[in-house]
Amino acid sequence: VLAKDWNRSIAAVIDVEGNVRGTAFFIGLDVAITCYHVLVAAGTGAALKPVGSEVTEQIIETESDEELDLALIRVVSHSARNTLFFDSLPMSVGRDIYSHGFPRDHGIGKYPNGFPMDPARVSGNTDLTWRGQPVQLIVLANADVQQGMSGAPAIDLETQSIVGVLRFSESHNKRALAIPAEVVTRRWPAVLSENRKRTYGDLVDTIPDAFAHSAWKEFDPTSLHCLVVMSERAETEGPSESLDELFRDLMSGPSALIVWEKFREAYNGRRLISGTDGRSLSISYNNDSVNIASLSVLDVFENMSSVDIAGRLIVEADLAIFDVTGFEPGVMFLLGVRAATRRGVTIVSHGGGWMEGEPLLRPFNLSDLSVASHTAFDKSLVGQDPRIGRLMERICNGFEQCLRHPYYRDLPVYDALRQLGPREDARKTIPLEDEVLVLCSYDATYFRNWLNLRRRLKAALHEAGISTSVVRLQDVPTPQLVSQSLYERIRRCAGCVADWTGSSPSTFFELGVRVAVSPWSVVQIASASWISEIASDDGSSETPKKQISLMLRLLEPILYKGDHDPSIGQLVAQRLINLRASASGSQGHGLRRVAARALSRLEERVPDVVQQLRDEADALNHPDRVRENVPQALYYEIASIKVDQERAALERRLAAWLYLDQRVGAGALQEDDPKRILWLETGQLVAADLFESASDADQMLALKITEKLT
Amino acid sequence: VSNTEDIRDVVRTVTMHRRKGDALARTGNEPAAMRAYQDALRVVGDALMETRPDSPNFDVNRAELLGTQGGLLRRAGRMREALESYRRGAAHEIASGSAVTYNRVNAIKLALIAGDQTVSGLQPDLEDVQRSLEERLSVDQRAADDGWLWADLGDVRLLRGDPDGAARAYRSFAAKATSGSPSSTLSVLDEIVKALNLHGDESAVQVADSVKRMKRVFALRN
Repeated sequence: VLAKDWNRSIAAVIDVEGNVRGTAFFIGLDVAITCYHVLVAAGTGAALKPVGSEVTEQIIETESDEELDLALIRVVSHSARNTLFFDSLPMSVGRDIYSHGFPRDHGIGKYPNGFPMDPARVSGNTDLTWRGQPVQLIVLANADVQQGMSGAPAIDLETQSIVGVLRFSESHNKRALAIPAEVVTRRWPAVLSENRKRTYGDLVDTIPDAFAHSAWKEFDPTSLHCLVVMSERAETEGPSESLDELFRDLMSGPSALIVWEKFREAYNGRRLISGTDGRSLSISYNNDSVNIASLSVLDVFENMSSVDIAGRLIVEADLAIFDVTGFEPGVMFLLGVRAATRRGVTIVSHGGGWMEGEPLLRPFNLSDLSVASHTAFDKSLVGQDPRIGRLMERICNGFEQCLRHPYYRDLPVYDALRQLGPREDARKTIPLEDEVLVLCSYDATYFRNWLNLRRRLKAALHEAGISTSVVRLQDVPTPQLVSQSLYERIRRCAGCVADWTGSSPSTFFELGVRVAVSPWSVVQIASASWISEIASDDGSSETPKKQISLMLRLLEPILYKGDHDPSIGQLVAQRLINLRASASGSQGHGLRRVAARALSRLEERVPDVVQQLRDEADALNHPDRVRENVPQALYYEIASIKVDQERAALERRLAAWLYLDQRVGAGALQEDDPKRILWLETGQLVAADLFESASDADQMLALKITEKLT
Repeated sequence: VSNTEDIRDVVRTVTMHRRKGDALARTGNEPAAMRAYQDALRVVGDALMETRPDSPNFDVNRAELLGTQGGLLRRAGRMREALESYRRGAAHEIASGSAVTYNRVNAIKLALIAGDQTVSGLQPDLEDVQRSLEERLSVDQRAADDGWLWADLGDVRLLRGDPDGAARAYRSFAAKATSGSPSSTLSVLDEIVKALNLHGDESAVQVADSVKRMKRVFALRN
């Protein structure tokens, strides 16, 4: 029941000029909640003016959720603050909703303590897609759209409880809505607690301590960022099997210098899209230049904030080390996010008794992955742990290959998602009407589930006027490599369903890729009987029970009844149609936005045109062949192949030189200018090759170039 | 001139001038060709002046520069100086222990062109170089990638009266080297045949026959 002076918890959100932009209400000593769009409208320098107070309180910091249109606001703490608490009661149709706020038509000058809202009635609900999942907002009838009331509490008149947050302003659809308390708690679980002294920190600081302490705050181009992702199994094994401990051991000894040196060789000078200069890595090794973050997969799936931070770290890490022991679903999901977003060095390591060289059943789409082992050596009682040297070698080889090989990859996916060819239609979305892609297990025990899903989904979509095919990759008649066609479809198919049933590592890897790249998100489903089996498992199987339970809570797949569920088709079809309707302005799953934000700072620039042409030319016919005549063509004994490569190299160098000469004007630059040096070197190589040609035109061009150079 | 980058700079600049000279010589413009060779010689000369005995890879770098200089002097018709340059280069080659035999083989070939030696008189030197090359090529797989070493082996075998062995080596050379490389090797062989005839060397006919055969080997490849 509301306190008598409950409306003293209400505050106006005002901009720097003192105009009211909306309403907020206090839910803790230093924290209020409002709508995200209110904060955006208020802009920089916004403040709160609580009812009954003459003082405005400056906003210190905020945490927003753009999709839900909610924001938490931190102000200075007051021990005597009037606060409100959410109630998890549902907002049933027909109930009257009441509120108090700062409507624009009742100006703050005349009504400094705000104005009550006429009761509105709950008339139904509407779906919103949040992080690829549907959430329901409440539609209010008889409520005039009142600008300024957004962010005010939704109060159930009958129960006198706070059941949500009012959201009045929608640019193209002026409906009056309320965001239910249940939805607010999905984003900030602690808002339901009735701790009267709670603070902003209690609500937003939900990241597990272990990784909150180790995670770097932001990407620093002058540092090495290392991330270790630990499996659930590692929690039960002792420290001797901990990949994190092993890596920290490595980085606390002299090996760290070697790792830094190799990293520096590979990454120094790499140009990022966010700055003008390349990454500047110091020659000497410095502890402070290395960030090491460790995440347990269980911590990652603790809540959405953890997932977001983990997503950012996975994208930002120059070196990521994944413990793939047992190929756990959560780890595979995160590995998929990494594979889709970042070309750095990624090491995958398996423990649990497995040793390198022994057979290991790998997920089918990761069959060519080079897996390391971190299983503890029972017999190494003296000297340094041999795993450290082996791990260091892998890391150094990774950085070395990164430097030497422009297409270095240690995971599949990255290129398959991006190299789709030059045709205009190569990147176009494959609409729901053409195909629905299903990511699922290929295990024989799953086959009947698949048949039921395909039949029901196809029929349900047909009923909704969408005739399409529902396919797994295996059903597509193409000779193309799985790795090419699968990831291209994962990017392009608007309709995608991922079935967790059986916890196939491949499916979770693909799911990670999908949520990281697709603006259309994904419909996740799981068989209820499979979930029950996991829940009732007594620990005898190796199923990572805790992890699946956390993921279920967070990602909320639609549960269905095995291979005979008649409703699964309808449920998935409806979700796909909702996604189609809502995704036109959406940026996909939250992890996609996290990845995009991170990449806006650290994505490497497309190579400079001159550098690219020179590299291509060198790869075809290196200038050092004058000194060491080492063949470059694979079938070098075929003279025509060799001649073609030499000609192609010459044309590329010529194009590079003409660009430097005509576009950059490099010939007129100072003698020590790097671009002029490049112009001179490239020109010399081009002229030398043209002089060898039998064509008069080539001879003339060679003479012209040498005249310019000398 | 002490590191690979420095040597690369020199070789790149010299190659441009040298090829310019070769192109001009092909059109009969000898004076302009000589100027181009002189430009190249100046660059090599400066580089040689800058090599220091205490610098890393001194012998390797010096051998490469002296070999380059020898080729330019030969083109400029300064045979004695060319021979001297190759001989000095050969000493550095041996001192460096590298697989390269460019100076040693060219010192032999130029001695024949200059009429300084006969084919039979050079047999002990040829045998030494052949042994060194065959040993290296049979155990050093990286060295065996280098087309120039196979060209040297072909030359040596040819002058030792082993046309079959020479053909095998030249085939490897032609397969591995750039498409333009065999023509420069053949032009030197032609010069040797011409010089052997001029100086009345007793092996002139045999070498001429072998060179003809080698031309067929190269022609078949193209």
